[in-house]
Amino acid sequence: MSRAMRVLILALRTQLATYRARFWEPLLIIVAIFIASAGLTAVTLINAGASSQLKQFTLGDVPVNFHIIPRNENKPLRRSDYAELRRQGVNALVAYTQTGDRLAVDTVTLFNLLPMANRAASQQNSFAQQAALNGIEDINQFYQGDVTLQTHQLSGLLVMGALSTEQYALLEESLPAHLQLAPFVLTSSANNLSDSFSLNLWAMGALMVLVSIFIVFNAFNLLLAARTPVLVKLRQLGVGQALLLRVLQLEMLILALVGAVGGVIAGASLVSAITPLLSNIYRFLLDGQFSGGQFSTPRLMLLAVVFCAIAVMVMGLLIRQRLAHSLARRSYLVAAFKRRFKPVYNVWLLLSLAIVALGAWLVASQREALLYIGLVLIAGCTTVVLLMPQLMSLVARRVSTTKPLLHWSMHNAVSLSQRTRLAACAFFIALAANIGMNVMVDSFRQATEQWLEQRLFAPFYIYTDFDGDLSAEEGTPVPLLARYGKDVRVNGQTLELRSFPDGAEYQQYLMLDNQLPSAWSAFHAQRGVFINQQLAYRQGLNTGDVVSLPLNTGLQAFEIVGVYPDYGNPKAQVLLPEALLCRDYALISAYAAFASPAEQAALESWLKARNESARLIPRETLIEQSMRLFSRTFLTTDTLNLITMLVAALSFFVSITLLVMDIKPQLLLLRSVGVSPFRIKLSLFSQYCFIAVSCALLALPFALLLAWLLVNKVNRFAFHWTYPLILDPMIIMQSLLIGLGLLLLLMALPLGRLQARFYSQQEAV
Amino acid sequence: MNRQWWGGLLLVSLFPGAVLAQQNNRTSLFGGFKANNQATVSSEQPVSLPADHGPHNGYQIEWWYLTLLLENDAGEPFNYQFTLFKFARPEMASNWGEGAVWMGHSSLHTHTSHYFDEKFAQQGTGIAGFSTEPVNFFIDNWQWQSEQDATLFPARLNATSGPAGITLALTADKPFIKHGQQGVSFKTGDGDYRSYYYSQPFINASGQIKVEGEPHQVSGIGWYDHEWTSQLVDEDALGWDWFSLHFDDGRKLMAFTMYVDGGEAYTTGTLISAHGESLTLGPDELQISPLKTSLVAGRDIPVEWQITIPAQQIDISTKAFKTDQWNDSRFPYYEGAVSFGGSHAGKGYMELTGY
Repeated sequence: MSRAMRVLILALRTQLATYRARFWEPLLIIVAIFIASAGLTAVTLINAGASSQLKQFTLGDVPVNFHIIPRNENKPLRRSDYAELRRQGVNALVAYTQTGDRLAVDTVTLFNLLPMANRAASQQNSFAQQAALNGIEDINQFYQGDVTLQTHQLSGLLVMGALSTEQYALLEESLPAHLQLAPFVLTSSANNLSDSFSLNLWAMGALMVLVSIFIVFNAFNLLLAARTPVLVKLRQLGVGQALLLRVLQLEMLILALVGAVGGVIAGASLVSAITPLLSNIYRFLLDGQFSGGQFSTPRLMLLAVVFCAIAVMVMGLLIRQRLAHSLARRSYLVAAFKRRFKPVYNVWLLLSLAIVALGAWLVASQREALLYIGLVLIAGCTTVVLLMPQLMSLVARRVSTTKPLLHWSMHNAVSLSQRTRLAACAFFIALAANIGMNVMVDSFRQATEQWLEQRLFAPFYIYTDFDGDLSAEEGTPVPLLARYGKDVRVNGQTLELRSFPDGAEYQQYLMLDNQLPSAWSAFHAQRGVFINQQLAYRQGLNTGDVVSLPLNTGLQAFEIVGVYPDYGNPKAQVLLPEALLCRDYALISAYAAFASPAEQAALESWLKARNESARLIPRETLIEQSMRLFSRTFLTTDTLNLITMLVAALSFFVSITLLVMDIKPQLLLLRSVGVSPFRIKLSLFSQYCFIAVSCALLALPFALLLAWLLVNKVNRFAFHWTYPLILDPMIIMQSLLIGLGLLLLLMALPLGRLQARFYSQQEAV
Repeated sequence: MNRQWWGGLLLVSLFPGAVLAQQNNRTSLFGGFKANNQATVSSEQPVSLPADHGPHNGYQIEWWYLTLLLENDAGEPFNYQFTLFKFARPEMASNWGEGAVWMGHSSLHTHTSHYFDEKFAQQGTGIAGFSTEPVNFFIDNWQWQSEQDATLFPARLNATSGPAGITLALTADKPFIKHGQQGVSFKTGDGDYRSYYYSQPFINASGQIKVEGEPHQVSGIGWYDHEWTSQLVDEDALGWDWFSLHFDDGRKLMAFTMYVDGGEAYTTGTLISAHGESLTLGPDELQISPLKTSLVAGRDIPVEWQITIPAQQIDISTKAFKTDQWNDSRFPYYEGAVSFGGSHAGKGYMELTGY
């Protein structure tokens, strides 16, 4: 073994030997990397499981599995490419363009490719009308006015019909160099929802990684601070700085490997464990499918290596920067240096806060909303770093010098707040996200509950696959009201048509966001319809607009007379008068049964006689089941939230441990002048509380802004519905207290350790 | 009373009803495609060639019609129809395409098979249209391309019809024939319904037709029509019975009866000498009468006809090449080859719409 290698091993063993006395720092680094890789693994696997089960798209009953798209954005698909391919004999192509949920296709050429039965549906209808009947928007309606092929390029060419391997190869060969054949997935409706859910998961994963970076950074600072005496001794023994750097990097690699591999395994296990829950979420909330449990081991290991490489890269950079400083002297930002630049910082602060205030109104998509949330958090962190010490300083100045310990405590807290800025930022992010999410979920819960209470007007509801209309049967023991339904396609989007009872007495049961003054008279006259928020937001419709619906009599135009909330429904929906839909329905989604509890048994036996699988569910049970499903849906986000909060608290804990080491001489001085250990601990604890509460108070307005963004922007663009933001002081206080409680509980740990140190120091003296 | 007598009585009693049904039961062929274009057909602006070979955007409907009677080396018939229609659809005008839709029909009949294809494309998208120098009509990969700059013949035609591929060379050695008054063809007695209409009935065609992988060298004769108007897509325009006949003596005959709701059926035609001189025939000079109907695609279709031109001593009976020559397209109609005998013999094409 060479000398260099022996020195390397010796230095590494020396470093690892410090674990016996100081195991917290390496453990925290492992935990941080573990959490980041577990979170990202879970998010990756959930999204992979969701996208593997996409439904086949059909156009006019013809399957569409592939489309032709540009290879890159620099050379887009042009109309001339379309024409050239068709003139070469590649005729099974239909040009389309898609913006959001709007899918518009070249219906004239599509007509060639539809089965003859679909073509001859109505000789008297125009292409646009026929397209509408088939649930497709004509491309000519899309490219109107300012919308041109220059402003909105073609999205692709749909390849109509199934392709054999030979046909696929032939088609691929006939394409010009800038075009390619790719599987076609319609990104609308349910798929959009899945995408939104995926995006939200990625955002959460990113949040966890962000917080983890803070904790790694803190833990690493701590580790270097603790190692400095050892590193100095090694330098004195002649070990070169380059070798020390390599030793530290090797140590970090070992820690990162342990954390990353463990995290990937834990993330995969978590996904495997919650697969049934995710399946339910995808089925009920997202109208999609989720297939879990299909993990590829090589892929997981690759993930682990990637996470590990990222972690080592981050830490490697830190090591290089910090090592020289650590061996020279402790390096912290000097308060005086900061004060000199305070006006500049304040300008920055005001600028970032102004961006936060203005930006909220400009957000116009889900992606923008998530980016904006990132911006809010950055602005918040800037505020924590720059404003918090100033605000704390204002408070500290009010403490009289006649109370020396308190005076020192407050001023020392201001100084500590500058040193704990990274931990404070992590805590700020976690707390703001936690409060924001809790306020959002609580608002959603209250809105859903109120909506269910109002919408479910009958004492019982019947769900059955009975092939017929039970409400039309003779001898029903109680009056039954059928909810007729029919699913149609309009402008490439599935639309639920559902009936609403005709009687005026039912009007009070439909919660409406907005409505025309003559809404109900138009509705009863079969001139007007109510649409749900999902349809209104997706297609930019509002009251007074006209919507054409394909009924059995052909396309029929209705005025939109009101918009209603329809929480949890991924699909666009239209409420039609019962009298209209009962003549043209494809399904009965449920029956409202007006039975008293005494009539329940008779109704059940009557139902069983007609359909064995019929279920009679009391209204209260239905509400309870819905709310239970609601809670389960938010279990995932709640868990991720709690983990994030825990990570943030850990980060703070690490910082405190570091600070306790730093101020040890001052504390010993206090002890030497007769201040009792208990009072010292109390003083320290009050300082931490002061910092933590200041941070929490700053987090509150940002948290409320986050809640507003989540409800009115993220939810609006991801799920196409919104609800009123309800600021319940109890919920806000609860979130605050949980965050602070977790933090203060962890902070008590180093204080306990502090007592032991005092005694050992005193003994040594 | 024997059974034969009863049968005769039944035929006599039913037949006038069948004749009457030619008009009463008809439905407008292009009624649903009516647009607001109202460019008129005027005698003051007669057909001018070669300028009028291309499309005319002010009119509601226009078509270029080619029917060919071909045979392979073994004498097996290959009757082929190639048509391009252009409909004005001003409401479709957008930044994507122009306000017109092209429709292509390609129909090949052999003794045992019928291959039919239909295509639609919007004008202005580059998928269908017309270009000059040389004259070129196209929809997808179907192309008619002339070999000279300004005129239609000689030309090459490339098309498909289901599994059949058609590659033909077309020539014409006689002048175009303008129907009616210098190409203004009257469709009703009062002149309210009319079109611009000219033909090239002296076409020779040769080339290859590949059916399901088997190539056939074919040759034969053909007839070309070009017609445009704004009236024939009216709801009142109920359809027509139209013939293009090639006499064995070299003469050609175009004859049709037009049916308009509320009006009398109007019969007219053009008799063309073997040298290309034309004679317009009025309702008093030409009679077209159905002789026998058959059930085709659920409809009673007259498949045998009598055509008489007393002044020319022409009295012929036509018989469909096959009973079922129904084109099941968006606008379904009967189009197929006929042969005829009687005072003269020959063969041609028959088109029956509105049934």
